Order: sequence, then structure tokens, then C-alpha cells
Amino acid sequence: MKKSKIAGLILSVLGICIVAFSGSIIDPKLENDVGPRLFPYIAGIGLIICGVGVFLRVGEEKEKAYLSKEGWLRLLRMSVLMLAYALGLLSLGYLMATPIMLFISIKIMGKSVISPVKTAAISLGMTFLVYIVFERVLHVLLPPGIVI
Amino acid sequence: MQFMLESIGILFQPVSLMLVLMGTIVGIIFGAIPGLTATTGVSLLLPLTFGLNPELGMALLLGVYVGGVSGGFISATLLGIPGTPASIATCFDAYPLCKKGQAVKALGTGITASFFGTIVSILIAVLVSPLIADMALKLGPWEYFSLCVCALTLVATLAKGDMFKGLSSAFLGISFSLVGLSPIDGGPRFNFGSIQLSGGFDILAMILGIFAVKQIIKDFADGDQVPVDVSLEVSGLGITLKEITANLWNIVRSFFIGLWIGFLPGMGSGLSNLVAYAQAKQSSRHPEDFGKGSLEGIWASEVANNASVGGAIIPMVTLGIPGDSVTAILLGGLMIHGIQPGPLLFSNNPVTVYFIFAAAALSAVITLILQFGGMRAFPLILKIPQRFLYSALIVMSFVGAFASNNSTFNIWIMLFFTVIAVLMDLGGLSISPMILGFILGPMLEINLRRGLTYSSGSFTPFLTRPVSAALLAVAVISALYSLFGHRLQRRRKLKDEGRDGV
Repeated sequence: MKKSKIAGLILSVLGICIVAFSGSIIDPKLENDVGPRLFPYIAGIGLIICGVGVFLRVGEEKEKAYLSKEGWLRLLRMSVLMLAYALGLLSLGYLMATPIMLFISIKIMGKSVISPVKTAAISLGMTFLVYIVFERVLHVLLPPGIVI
Repeated sequence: MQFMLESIGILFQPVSLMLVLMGTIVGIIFGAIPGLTATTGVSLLLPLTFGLNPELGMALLLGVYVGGVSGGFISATLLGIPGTPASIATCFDAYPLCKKGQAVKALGTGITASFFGTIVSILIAVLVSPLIADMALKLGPWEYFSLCVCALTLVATLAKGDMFKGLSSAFLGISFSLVGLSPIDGGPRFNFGSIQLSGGFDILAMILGIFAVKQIIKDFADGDQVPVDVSLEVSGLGITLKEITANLWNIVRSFFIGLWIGFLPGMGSGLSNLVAYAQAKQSSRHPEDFGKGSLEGIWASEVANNASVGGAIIPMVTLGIPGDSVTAILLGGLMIHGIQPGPLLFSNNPVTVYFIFAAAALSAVITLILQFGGMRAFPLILKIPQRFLYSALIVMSFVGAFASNNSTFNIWIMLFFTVIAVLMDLGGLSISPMILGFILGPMLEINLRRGLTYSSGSFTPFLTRPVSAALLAVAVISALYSLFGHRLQRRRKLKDEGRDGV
């Protein structure tokens, strides 16, 4: 029940924000056109009504936990890694950031222990495979980075 | 006919054949591995199509789609875990049959059923689509607006439980589509001064965040990969003509269930396999055999989920409305290649349309051959360690998001939608209505504004034009049924229980 209340509240607040910000959209007042504000108002009001509906929901089944405590820690670990990888791609570029990310990712996923040498080799191999396929074969650019 | 022949000519070029084959193999692998789906596969391979022309790009993606929907039955049969939501019902009977030592029979039935479902649904799509596209051209902005409202409402109210949650998800998707430039007048909206947001949220980054990155994070958070110990003694195809003829009526019924559900926006094979299975059990002379290794159950589930493939392609090519989440991504793929989906697709790009049908049909044939020929390899697919597979998928997701428009900002968009997807999961909100709302948002607004402009600001034509009124009525009925339907069912149940008690 609590999750629904929180979800309903967030949705309603989001709807209110959309309605509030819609007032600042510039309306060029074209002939016979209702303008660019109508649809955002509809979306915002729709969110408010549905948010209230979700908030007032009754007779819900017993909620089960989304994740266990250990599951949340794993989620957090992976989220930090993703964030770090995004920052690494931006600053160091694909060729430097990717093998580091892969090394850490392979290590933290899975219970069995793999030797660092094997992990490093697989990380480098995967990095260059994707590089060759994207940049050389398909001519799709990869993040260059700004430091290197 | 001329366009059909031209598209077949393009399909049978070596490059096209190779891409369909590659896509099908990737699709089968993605479908077979629990946690990965055809949707994830298509999302990840979409960036690979940037350097290709639209037809070749579609060849690759359709291979993944068809292979992915079909491949889900492999782990459903061998492990009792559905590879994709399309194969949930397949588990109920294929796995018990496998445990009885008849894995090859279960696999052979699944493979044949998948092929039949896909190929016949594509043939029907080829015949029916030009008629629907012609009819669609006669519709005005009022009808298109009502069609989008109907599609969104059906998805929001019928897909998963609570109506308000479904509609919230749809309105959330519409809200995300507002970011960028307003249609018709081109003024900025919700950009907050950012140049990067002027073009709106990139659909590929959104898709990768929701279907790929979020799935990887969630699967890792849920727990480690279950160790697989499967051995398979393969001899023969496992299926006989007698078994096919004995299940003919079940096959036909399940096919039409799958085709219709696939046609309805936002539903697809995840729902059709369950509905067809339930119908098959209800109509069977031996319902007590279901859940214990009944071939009827496997036929029903696998024919229906694959029939949804052709069913979902019909609204995609004729109306620009996705039939399921994969066709939503395929629509995104068409737009990325500069092709505008919608009723004019048939008249503006007929070769592309017929190519889509041809590539899907070819992929179905390749899937049949690969699966029968590669049965021995199935246990090996399931043994791929999650740590290597998921790590590679993370790289492909980030690279794909960047490659969409050579912008690192897209990576942040992808991560933003990953967070949104996790929060929606936490709040019990379904993703499908959100995706549909995002895709249909601009279409809804353009047609609303055009309709109101033509009628000098009056909403009356939306309610008085017959097709528009009918579509809005369907939307309202589905919303009301969702609100009050469970009460009717409960009253009926109490009445039945009271009668039994007497």
C-alpha cells in the first residue's frame, strides 16, 4: 500500500509541475491553432488525475520486496560502476575506459574467482572486438574522450 | 507485384542474406537466455544499423525479432525457465515433457509451431496490410487522434492490473515526448535552456536505458546465474504428421488468437501465449493432461506467440503504431533511417515495406533450419556465463547510445531512463504504456491540433465522425471494464459458489 501512495504522490506532483511550467511556453498564436500549451496541460492534468487514482487505491495485495538487502547493495554497486563508466567515456574515451570497466564488471559479477590475468585478457579482447566492429567495419564513431 | 519482386531481389543479395542470418542467430541466443529478450537484442543491435541503408538495417533487426520470439522456448523446455515472456506458457508442458525424457519431442513441436505461427502470420500481413493502409489514407486527423487514444487506453487498461497505473505510465510517456520543439509552430518546450534537449529525448538512448541497461542491473541485483546442467540426446525431429493433424483445430485457434493480440497495440506475444494456452486447456478433451507434458499446450503457446509477430507488424507498417515493444523499436529504427512510419509508408516506401515482410519470412525459415539442425548446441547457449555476457552488453549499450548521434549527452539520457525504469518497476508501473505514450505523443498532438484547426476549435467532429466515435467508444469501454470488470467477475464468482453450495 505504501508504494502506491508514494507513486501516486510523485505522479501528481509531476503533473502539477508540468501544468505550472506549461504556462511559460511561448504561444505564437497562429490562426485557428489552439497553440503549443494545450497538450502539455492535458498531459499534466492526466498525470494529476491518475496520480490521485493511484494514491487512493484500496484493496491492494500484500506487497513483496522489490529486492533483498543484498540485492539493493548489488544494484548500488552496479549503478556506481555505470556512472563511473559514463564519466570515464567522457574524459578518457572508449579505448581507456572500457577495459577498466570490463575488468571490474567481470570481477564483481559471478561468485567464482577468475585470475586477474584471464580477466584482463578478456577485457582487452572484448574492447578491441567492439572497436573493430564499430569503428573499422561499420564506421560508427566511439567516444574519443577529452583528456587523451 | 513489381515492388514485391524488387524487395525480394534486394533480400537475396549476399549482404542481406548474411544480415538476416546473423540477426536470426543473435535473436535465437537472446531469446534462449533467460533475462535477455528479443526487445533487448533489437535495442542493442539498432546502433549497428547506422552505417547500413534502411533495408539492410531492417534485415538485421527483423532476424533478431523473429529468432528472439522463437528462441524463448529453448530454455522453457530444457530448464523450465522461459527465455522470454512469450514462452511462459510453453514452460508449463514442455519442461515436464523434457523431464520425462522426451526433450526432443518437446523441442521439435516448439520449432514446428514457431515456424507455422510466424510464416502464416507474415503471409496474412502481406495480404491484409495494403487494404488497411488504403483505408487508413481515407481517415482524417480526428480518426488518427482517436486511434492513438484507443491504442493507448487498450495498452494501459488491459496490459497489467490497475487502470490508473497503466494510464499514469501512458501520460508519463506523453510528458517525456513534450521535451524539445513543439510540432506545427516549432517553439521550444521544456528544454530548460539546453541545446541538447532541443531535439527531445533520443529514442534509442531511452530504449537502451529501459530495456538493456535496466535489465542487466536488475538481473545482477536479483542474484547470480543459476548453474545449468543439461544434456540432450538428439535423434530425429521429434515430431510426427499424426501429431500435427491431431492438433489442427488447436493450431488454427491459437494462430488467430496470436494474430489478433499481436495486432492490438502494445500487447504482443507476452500475452498471446498465455491466452492461447488457457483456451486450449478449456477446449481440450483431456484438460487434466495440461501441466504434465501435453503437446496441445506446447502447440497453443508457440503458435500463438509467433503469430503475434505478423500481427504486430501489420499496424506498424500500415498505421505507424507499434503492435508490441519490439515493433516500437523497429519504428524507432525506421525513423532513425529517415523513413516516416504511418499510412503513407506504403505509397512512399513500398519496397521497404515488402522487404520487411520478406525478411521476416526468410528469418522464420532460417530459424526453422537452425533450430532443427542446431538442437545439440542448445545446452551450450544456456551455459554462457552471465558475467561475460552482461559485461559485453553494458559496453554495447553505452556505445550504442553514443553512436546514435555522436553525443555523450545521449549516455546520460540512457542512464536517466534506466533510473526511471527502476523507479517505475518499484512503483508497480508498467513500461509498455510509457513507451507507447512517448511514440504516440507527437502523433496525438499533431492530429488533435489539426483536427481542432479544421473544425475551428470545435471538439464535436471527434465525437460525431463515425470511425472516430467508435474508436473513442472502445477506449471508454475498455477503461470502464478495467475499473468495474473485477467487481462483475467477483459477483459472478460468488453467484457460482452460492449455486454450488446449494
